[in-house]
Formats: sequence, structure tokens, C-alpha cells
Amino acid sequence: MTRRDFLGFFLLGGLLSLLGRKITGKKINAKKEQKEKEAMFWRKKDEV
Amino acid sequence: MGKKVQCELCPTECVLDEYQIGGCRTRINKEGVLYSLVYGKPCSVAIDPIEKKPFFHFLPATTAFSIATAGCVLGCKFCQNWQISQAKPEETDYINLSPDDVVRQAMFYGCRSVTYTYTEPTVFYEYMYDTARIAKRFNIKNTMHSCGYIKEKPLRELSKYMDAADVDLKAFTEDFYSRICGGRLKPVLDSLVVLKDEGVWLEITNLVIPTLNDDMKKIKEMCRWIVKNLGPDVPLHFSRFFPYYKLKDLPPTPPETIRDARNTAMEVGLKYVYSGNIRSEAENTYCHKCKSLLIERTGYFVKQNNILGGKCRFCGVNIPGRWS
Repeated sequence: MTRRDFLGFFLLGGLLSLLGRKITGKKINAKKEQKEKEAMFWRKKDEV
Repeated sequence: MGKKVQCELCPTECVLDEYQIGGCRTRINKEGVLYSLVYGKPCSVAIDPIEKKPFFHFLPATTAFSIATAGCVLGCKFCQNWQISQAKPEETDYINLSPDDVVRQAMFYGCRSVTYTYTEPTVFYEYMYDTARIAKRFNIKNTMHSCGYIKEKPLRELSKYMDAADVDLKAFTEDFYSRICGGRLKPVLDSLVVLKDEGVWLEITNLVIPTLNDDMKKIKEMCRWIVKNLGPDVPLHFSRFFPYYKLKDLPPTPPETIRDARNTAMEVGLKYVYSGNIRSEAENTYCHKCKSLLIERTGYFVKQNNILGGKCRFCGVNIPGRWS
């Protein structure tokens, strides 16, 4: 493979990956991490 | 104005500076707000026989969808699950499982209950609470195995959704709780009374450890307290100790000690006293009136059940428990 061929494949690959649709966690129904949950029983220390 | 917060979940009542984590390893103060670090992140998920919890008077021969996260409010030197109870959440192999998913999985696998167990469920209170609310809506029962080290307000709130609790009464001295567990006895006794008062089905487990809490006088005192404050119908499980974690220098509990403890409890008036971690007839349930064999067990498995509609099949007396 010549340097020219390699460059061609490299650019073509890059172009295709840009055009292709990204697969995200949401699309494959992957579970998201739970959001942080505020605790139910606590108080600000400064409050009486 | 400072951003210190005070956790009001367990009697330790940690006061936390910003970005400090509580003694249970599961709660963090972020910019003046306390957050749970383990919500929806169980590190143990399994389907167990309900007898393993142990519950002997609650839906026998059914399975419990069992979950736990990392962390504990105590630091018992004999803990059998210390790899997860004394670990930080990020040190465990947890999965993401929302409360909805827990209930969905429990139903899928035909479990009659969800059990919050293995570590101390108080540390994942919000996760347990949300799951229990959903489970109740789908007629799945909620049970927990707890050390009872929780404050009254959160316990009463949780009791609205909790059907049964097995509480470890680890000993009957403040000294044991202080030296061996890093806690106090009084809050545990208070929790037992609250659970009874709230109508949660209650069973008690006492792990008998040689030289540390095997004094029969103290065991008798404990049983008297149970009869007086909770009634004679509360099942009591005496469990055999095996060397573990930080107590590897002690021998396993002699079977005779468990037998003596059981006899002591029955002399004091408790009707249903069992032995755990030992194969014997003391794993079976006998009618307190006619003494007939009601439930025959081998380990966690039920071989026969002679309780019909909550009554003894032979003499018709009511057997305390939740049978259906």
C-alpha cells in the first residue's frame, strides 16, 4: 500500500464515521446511572 | 453561613462538613445538602428462600428477591458480610437497578417478597423506601433484616410499607454493643418496640458468641425483656457463631450452648425459639398448644407445613405469623 492509498483510506474512514449516526447509550436502551438522590432525614447543622 | 449538615437517619447522627462522607460510607454532604451514594446501586442481588433471612413465621417456602448496597451503620467484629458492609460503594461491584426494576425482577422470578438484607438496609434507606412503595402497589411484600440501629422517625415512616422485620439483637449489654459493634443497645431496643407498635411482623436473631455474649443470665434477661415488651409470640432465633472477620481467634459456638439458650428462652415464656446454623429439630415449628409438628425444615427448605389458614391443623389454635 502506498502512502497515497493509506491517506485515501484514512480520509474515507474519517468521513464515513462523521456521516454515520452515533450509537448512544439511550439508543441501545442502556441503563443510565441513577441520579444522586437527596437523603430523606437530615438537617442543616446551623438550624435549630 | 456554614454548610455543615447532620444526618438524622441513625443514632450515630453524623455531623458532616462539606464533601465529608458519613460513618456508614453511604452519605455525603455536597454543598450543604445530604445525598445518598448508593441509591439504585445494589452490590448484592439474589433470590433466596425466605427462611434464610431468617423468617420462620412469614410466608414459608416462598422466595425473596434480596438486595443490598455497600455500607453499614455499625462495625461488628464478627460480621459475615464485612466485604460489602465495611466497604465504600465504589469498592464493590454494584449494578444499576432502579426501584422499578427491582420490583419488575421480583415479579418476573415469582418472588412473593423483596428483602432488604445482607448489609444494613438503613444505609440505603431511600432506595429501600422507594422500592417498598412500588412493591406494595403490586402486592409484593417487603421485609428487611436489620440491626435496628435507626432513629424513630425514619423507622415509623418505613413501617408504612414494611411487612416484616428480622432484627439482630446482638447482645443484651451496652458494653458488647460499644466494644464489639461500635454502637449502643438502647436504640435497638427502642426500634423493636416501634416495629411492634407499628404492626410490622417481627422476628429476632441473636448470634451467640463464646465468651462475649453467651452468659445464660444475660440471655435470660434478654428473653424476659422480649416477653415483657414484645410479647411471647415473637420468634427468636439463636444462631451459632463461626470464626469470621476480626473474631477468628474464637471457637465456634458449642451446640450445647445454643440448646441451653433455647431452653432458657422457652422457660421464660417465649413460644417459638429456633436454632440457626445447626441442623436439628429446633429448626422446626411446633404448635405451642398441642406440641404437634407444624413446619418441618431442613436448613432453609420446608419439607411439610401443617398450618392451615393460620391455624394448627391438629388442634386449631391460631399460630402467630403472616401465613398468606
